[in-house]
Amino acid sequence: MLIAAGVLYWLDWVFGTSFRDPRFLSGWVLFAGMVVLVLYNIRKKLPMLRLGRAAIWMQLHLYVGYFVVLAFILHTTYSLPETLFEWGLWVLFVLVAVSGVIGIFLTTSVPPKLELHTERVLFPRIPAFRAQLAREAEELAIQSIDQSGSLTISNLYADTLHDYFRQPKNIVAHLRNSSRPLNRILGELKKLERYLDDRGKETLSAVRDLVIAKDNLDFHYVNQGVLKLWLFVHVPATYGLLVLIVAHVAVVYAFSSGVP
Amino acid sequence: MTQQVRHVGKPQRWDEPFGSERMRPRDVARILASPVFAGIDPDDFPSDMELADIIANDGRIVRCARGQIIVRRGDYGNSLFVILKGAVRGMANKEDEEKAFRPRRVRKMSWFRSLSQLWRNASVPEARTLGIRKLVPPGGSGGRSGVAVKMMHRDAAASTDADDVDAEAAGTGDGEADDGPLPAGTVVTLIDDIDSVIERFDTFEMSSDDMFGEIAALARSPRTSTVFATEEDTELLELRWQGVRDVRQWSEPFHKHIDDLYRERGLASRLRDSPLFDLVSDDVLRLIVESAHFETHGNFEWTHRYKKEVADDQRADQVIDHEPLIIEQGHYLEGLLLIHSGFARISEKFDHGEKTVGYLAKDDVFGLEEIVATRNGEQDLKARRSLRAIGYVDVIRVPTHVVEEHLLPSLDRNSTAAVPVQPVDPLNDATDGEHDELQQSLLDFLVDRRFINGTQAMAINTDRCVNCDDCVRACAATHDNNPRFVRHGLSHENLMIANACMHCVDPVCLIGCPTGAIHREQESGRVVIDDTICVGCATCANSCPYNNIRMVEIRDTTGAFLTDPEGRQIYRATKCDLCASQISGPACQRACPHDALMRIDIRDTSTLTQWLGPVG
Repeated sequence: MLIAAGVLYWLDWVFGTSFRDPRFLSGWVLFAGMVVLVLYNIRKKLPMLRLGRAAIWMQLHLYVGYFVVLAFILHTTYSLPETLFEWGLWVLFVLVAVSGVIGIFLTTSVPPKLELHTERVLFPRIPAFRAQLAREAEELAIQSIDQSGSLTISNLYADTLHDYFRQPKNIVAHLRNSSRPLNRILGELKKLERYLDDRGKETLSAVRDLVIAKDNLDFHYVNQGVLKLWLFVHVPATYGLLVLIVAHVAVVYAFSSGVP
Repeated sequence: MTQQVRHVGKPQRWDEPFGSERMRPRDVARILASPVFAGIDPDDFPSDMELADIIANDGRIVRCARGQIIVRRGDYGNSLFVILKGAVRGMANKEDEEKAFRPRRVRKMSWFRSLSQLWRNASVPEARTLGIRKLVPPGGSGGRSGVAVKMMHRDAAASTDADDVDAEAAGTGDGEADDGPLPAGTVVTLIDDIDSVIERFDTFEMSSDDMFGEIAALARSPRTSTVFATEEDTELLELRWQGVRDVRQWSEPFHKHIDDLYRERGLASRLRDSPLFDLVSDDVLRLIVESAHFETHGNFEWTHRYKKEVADDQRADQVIDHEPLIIEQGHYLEGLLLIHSGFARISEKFDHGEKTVGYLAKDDVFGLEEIVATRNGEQDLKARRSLRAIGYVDVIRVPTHVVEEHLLPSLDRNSTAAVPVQPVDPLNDATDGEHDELQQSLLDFLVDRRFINGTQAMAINTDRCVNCDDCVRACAATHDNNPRFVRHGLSHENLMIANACMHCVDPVCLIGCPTGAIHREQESGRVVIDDTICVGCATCANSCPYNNIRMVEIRDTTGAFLTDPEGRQIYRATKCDLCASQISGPACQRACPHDALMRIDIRDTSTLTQWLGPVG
């Protein structure tokens, strides 16, 4: 990849010294690079054909992606855009490139984190599991009043746990792999233990298990969500960029003198 | 609130007889008077399991039309047949059989046809174009050198014209069968020109009071020959394996008769298949065959217990306690054990428990090391380790004195380098403590959960998997818009075995398929379902211990669910077929951008551990 970039930079210098506009060369190389990058997506859409393993295409996608960034820097002559149209191109390219780099980071760092955090849960099933945990927690809270007449657990549920079970919580903490919010809730549960009879303690222990299960579920929801989220930037921005690239090529040739 | 309790009788073994109803007493009396059963003393049987009851409940009478195929080579059967009236013929050799009934194989699509799936596939999942697809019965559809066969309802078997029976009709027959206890709608296969088959191909005849199917019934191995009726209204007793087992257990003459048949028909060739016995001369092999014993250990229906164990993590860890001992560590070794089919666990005492050190699969032997060491005066003839049945295992036991007198001298004369005396023992490959620890826990996981059965298990490396579902989408794109697996399953460290068909060494899902729709391809070893003849009975899905077969409701191309005339939904069994018809090969594996999914033979532990990467 570095050798290819070196060759491109040398050719760019040769073009420049021969009084041609080197941006035509870097522009077409950039375009070709973009086509190769898009081919990866086409490969994914054609699993029924013998087009090579997606893992190899992925490696190609990564290396060509790095090369294209260097070609882009060359093509823009190390300067910021001047017109609104160029700004559009520039912003979309940067979005695609940066989201891609973030994607690489996430796809290598998040899966081992998930693996360490109990059993992996299928992402689409997480809301159903969360609702189930919420139901069980509510039942325990109501049951605790019937069993011992104590309002301690039910009050805790109403004040804190109801909201905790209702939706994903502590998103930033889960991204940072921090267990502080969980420890805080478990600490609150621990403090209440001294006020409960044996039955109440049993109920509290069951609530504690549900809190931990919900925390694990949130961890998976947040981290698996992040694994999908970056693609919501990368892919639409790529389509927008492709449209602008076609328009850019048309405009350049429409207003060029015909000599590169 | 008081819960209402409804008392029902405890389910008994014979609540559901083999036939649609318990056999009539006069039929039982007729069977017991036949030469096969006449020599059996009913007093040998316990009072709660009388011979007549076994026949009445575990047997059924099957009446066949001339030309009707009774068993097909390669099918997994679980019953034995006794000819009561008429005659049958079997194909004498594999070559003729392949000429006559071309082995089924899934044809690969052309490049263009593969691509055209993009626009040709219906937009709704599991759509079928019924009436357009041509029915191809098991055994092929004839051809230049083959035999023309046709499929039809059991109720219509007596008639001669069944050209228009299609896969749908096959599953939804109406009316009661006019004879025999087979359920209405049972599909049968008829050979069109039986005289030509007999004339052109090498066949053998069996007539009244002969018995066949004992090998498959006892050893749960594929049928070794295709057998068809040669006379109109041929009558057979079909005895399911439970009945065969019990009669064999309580009646010494029957036990001997079955074992003699097995020796005569299958044991010699079976031993030849094993690398160990391949080295001995024909004379020695004959001596070994005469003295060998066929044994079964474990529960044939182990799948139900397995499902419960897997559902309960703690029980899964204690699964070894429930596995029947074949031989215990330190006990006298009565003979060399050759695994005929199934798996056995090798364990040794470790503190207060048992530590798994390996397992045996088909053709592996146990006890040879001990026998050799004893001959060399290094130890007493005792088992160094214990051997247990994992689920259900068939074993051939060759007495120690026969091994010492005949087998060892033969082996001494030949190079024993190629003889697989060592069991599959992944721990032996360990090079350091850490690796050893990984292998032990991984081995426990694979053996306890019985993933060792898988030849093409879907392994997912959760260290690399990013849940992108590209594998799932690729599978759906190549299979009626519905993925044939669930990207979820049991995990051990960074290994997840997903819920995808593993194409098992011992595919219990094949047992009991009424049409032979689910079968193993002879060339590739893949277990595939012929969708055109699947009748949606769910036998295979219920049998699969790993829950890897799913019943799906099928639709037409507009998305409307298909129902039979009574308004009942029509189902099909679906599972991973390793993209048998696709030119791309397994789409799931090729679609994974992170190399996180692999189809792998689980017994290849070195590749598996290498792919999973180092610990830490």
